[in-house]
Amino acid sequence: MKKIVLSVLVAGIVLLAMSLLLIFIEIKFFPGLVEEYFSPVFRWSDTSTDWLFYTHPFVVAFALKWFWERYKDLFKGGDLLRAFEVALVYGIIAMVPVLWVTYSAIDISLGMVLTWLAYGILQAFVAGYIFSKINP
Amino acid sequence: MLRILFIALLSLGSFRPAEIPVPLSPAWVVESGSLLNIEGSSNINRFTCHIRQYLQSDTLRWVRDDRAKKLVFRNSAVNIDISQFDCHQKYITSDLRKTLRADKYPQLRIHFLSMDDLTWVQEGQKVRGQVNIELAGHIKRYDMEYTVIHEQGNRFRLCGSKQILFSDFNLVPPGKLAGLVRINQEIKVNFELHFRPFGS
Repeated sequence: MKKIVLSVLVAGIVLLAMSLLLIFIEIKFFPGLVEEYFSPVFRWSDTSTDWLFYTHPFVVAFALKWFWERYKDLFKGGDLLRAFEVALVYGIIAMVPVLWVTYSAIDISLGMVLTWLAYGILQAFVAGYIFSKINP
Repeated sequence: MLRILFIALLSLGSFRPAEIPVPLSPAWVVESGSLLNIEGSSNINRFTCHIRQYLQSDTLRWVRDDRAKKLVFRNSAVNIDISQFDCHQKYITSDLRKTLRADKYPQLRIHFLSMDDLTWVQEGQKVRGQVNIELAGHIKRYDMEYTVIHEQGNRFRLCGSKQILFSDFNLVPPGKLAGLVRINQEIKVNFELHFRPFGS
């Protein structure tokens, strides 16, 4: 149980740091894409909802941890390979269908959707690697 | 007899003493060729919002304070329709209008309070003045510095700029993505007002 909690916390903190780093990288190298966040489809920054963004890495970590505990025996090989497989499964099963319908319904660019897909897959890869290391 | 008296009373009632004309103080009319823009920035890039059309012929009335060598304005304001701002980036334009509460306070007003008397100012010399800027229902006083450029036929231009903050007017600049993408507090108002004397 300790290992489970520890791995969720570690993954959550690492994913949070990664998300902030990626935002800054995107601002630096893809400002046109980031400008799109000023679109009215996105919520204005507000203390009542901002905390949701900063806690989403822990939600992802918890969800992926549950998946890892349930299906980790199916993933063979070294830590990197297992993490890659988790990322692929998560990307295909969870991210692609959701982003497909999101793009169909919300006025955002394909570029933005693709950054979300890449982000989700990267999250799963990092979380999968941490779980494989801490709680194989 | 009563009829005559009645008619006389009616005539008296309709009599009004001749209106004594109130002498008009000198005044300038803001011409439609005037320009105003707002420069701002976000943590992504910079932007400039221009007025698409300045249609109003605002009039600035003033009296001369000879002792202080100043012009003191009375009920004189330049009114800018916020919906006419175009930031050339559709999301910033709509966000700015929402931030400035344009639905409830559709105008940015610059109330002129006082200015150095132009008679004592040489070409190219800076002119100091005070204005009240009214934005989103709040008013804040600023000291201004203008450049005066004289033109033909008693026309002249008043050029200047002022750095202001959203927080000066109790406004919060727009931010998205939990504040990680945001417009910065400082905005710079640049203006070039074209004037002609009232009546010319």
